[in-house]
Amino acid sequence: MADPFYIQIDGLDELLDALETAAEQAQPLLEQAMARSLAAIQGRVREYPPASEANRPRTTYQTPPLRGRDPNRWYERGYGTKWITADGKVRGKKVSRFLGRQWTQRVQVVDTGIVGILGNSTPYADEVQGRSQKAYHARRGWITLDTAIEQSTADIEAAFAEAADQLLAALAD
Amino acid sequence: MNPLSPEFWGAERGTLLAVLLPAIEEIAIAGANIGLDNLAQVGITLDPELTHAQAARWAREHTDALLDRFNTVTQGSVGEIVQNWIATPGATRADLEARLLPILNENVARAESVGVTEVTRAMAQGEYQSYAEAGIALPPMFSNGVDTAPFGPPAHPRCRCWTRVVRLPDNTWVTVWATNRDELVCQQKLKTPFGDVQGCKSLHNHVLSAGKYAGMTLTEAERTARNG
Repeated sequence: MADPFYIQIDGLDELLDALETAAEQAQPLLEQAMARSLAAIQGRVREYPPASEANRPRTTYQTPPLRGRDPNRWYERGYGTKWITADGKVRGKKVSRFLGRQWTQRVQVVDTGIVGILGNSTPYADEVQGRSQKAYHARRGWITLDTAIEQSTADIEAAFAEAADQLLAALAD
Repeated sequence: MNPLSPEFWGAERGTLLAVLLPAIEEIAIAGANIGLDNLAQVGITLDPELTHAQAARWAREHTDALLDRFNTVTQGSVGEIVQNWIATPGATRADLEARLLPILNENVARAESVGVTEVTRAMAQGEYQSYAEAGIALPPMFSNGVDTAPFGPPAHPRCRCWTRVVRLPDNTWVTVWATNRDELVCQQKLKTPFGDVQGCKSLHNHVLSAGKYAGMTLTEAERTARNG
């Protein structure tokens, strides 16, 4: 889980007073704030690092080392694993699930309020951008969801602060 | 990535309303700060099974009509196949193409092209629904000669691009173009609402949302927003 953080909201006293009697007006604003917060997090986690050696198409076959990664294999984004055979033919397995495009979000109203849910049903999402991230994905610049959440703190604060401002303005009318 | 349980949320009252309303005693009024133990308390969690419902729905409702107008598909329902693919956690590109092949006369090249392009389109349109709900400006409407829709991926057949959201320094929320950032990203001339560009590669990190930042690079937009 991400490190602790703080939300700063101007006019907090008035907001708290207002919220006691204005949940109906507050809810859509808070839903929007949550949707923006999720979008901000997604915006970061969706950005792909530049392609690396692991994505470079091979044109000639090399004798693989006894240990380590096979130099004849690479990963083509949006396609999947590819490899070149000893006779120079390129083969592939279309295992891609389009990781970047699969990030999705949902704002859910529950008894206790509003919950933001981020989702990605790509099976390899966890090892690329989750808590089980492989070291080589980290080295190639893939950020984790936790990092994206941390980096989005200011955006989350801004989204909810704006909701508070809008609510106060609405209640003042 | 383990989602927190519903019981956790119930116990924590992990919502902003819960944070704002009952926790007055925890608030440092002087600084107008609300102290939070961690992000869970504002109710953000992860569901590794969550699929893109908006994109799936869009594919079902629009893909076939659009392809018909492009005269691309003459039988079967691409929309339904794309919808089911999006809604199936773990389904791969190979699975998608295998399902498309029978209705595309076993034409592998067409299955590849239609599969990649229509998933890209459905995902982008699904995103736009999310953005609209978040009050984020959509890209300007743009006509490709057949259809008029908010400009965005796919920019061409087999386009693999998508969009993402960024908040600018002046608190404007915008959508920007994102690519795979590899050597396969297209560099062919494309028409956009912002003029002709050299392919998706040159659209990467360009603002799409309608408004004064439309068409700017993210860096330009951030600089402009900072300088008022």
